[in-house]
Amino acid sequence: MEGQHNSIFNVDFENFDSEHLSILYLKGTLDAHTAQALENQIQSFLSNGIYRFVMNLRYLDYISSAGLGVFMAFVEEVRNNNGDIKFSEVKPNIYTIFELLGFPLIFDFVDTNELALKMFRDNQIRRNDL
Amino acid sequence: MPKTQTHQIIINAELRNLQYVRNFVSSVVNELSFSELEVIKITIAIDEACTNIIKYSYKNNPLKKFKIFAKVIAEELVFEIYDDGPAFDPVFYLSSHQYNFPGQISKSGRGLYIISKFMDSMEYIPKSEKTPYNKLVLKKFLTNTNFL
Repeated sequence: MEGQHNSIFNVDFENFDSEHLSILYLKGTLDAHTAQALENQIQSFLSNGIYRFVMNLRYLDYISSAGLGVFMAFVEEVRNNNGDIKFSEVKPNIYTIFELLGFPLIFDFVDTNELALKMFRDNQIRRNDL
Repeated sequence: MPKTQTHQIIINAELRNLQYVRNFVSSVVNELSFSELEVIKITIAIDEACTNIIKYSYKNNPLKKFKIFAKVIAEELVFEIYDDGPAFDPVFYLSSHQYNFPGQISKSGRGLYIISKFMDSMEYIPKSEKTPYNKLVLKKFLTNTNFL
């Protein structure tokens, strides 16, 4: 398999400790191989009492169902703890994938981090039954 | 891609090789007249099919291999994916699971749902005494521009 390149994925984050909130900047390819890394990252935030997340996808180039599944896996737990997951700066092609599976019915998608932060500060948090 | 040419690749069943699958699909699809969005949809569909083979059929056994053929036949881009793991018919699975709300889509069914939405045709032939390989055939019409 010459010329093979493994999936590249990494996460940068910006914490707002007093608000129990973190902005995660997802970069690269989120597939079945790399999804575990994101899952571990989110789990470590939950362990530290952070339940409010802005997922900034400006630098996310690819997502498959395994990546989508990470968000579904945590949404109930974060909302049970007065938190939420909101997405910002999603590229149109990536948004199409979210749209196919009806994610906009479950999650908020906004243009900027600031809008997502404002929603959290205004306590605009979706409930599990929506 | 000349319309009689067949591309093929053999992949070891490791999730890290999904990038290799995607590179293969891109090299095939980019020679055809698909929009950028359609290229992404085809790439994801094949990625999902291969992910299922690696995770569920081969259980991440890197010694196991599967093979992908890609060719154009009569205005259709055809992918054939062969594996020799336990047979699992995705067409039957999808026909027996109706989704009304995204939250209802299980982890394992999400990939199959994506394949069914992103490709124009899906056919599955399980292995038998005559043929030792399961065969999944995924087609995309070259003239189809069915955006979501």
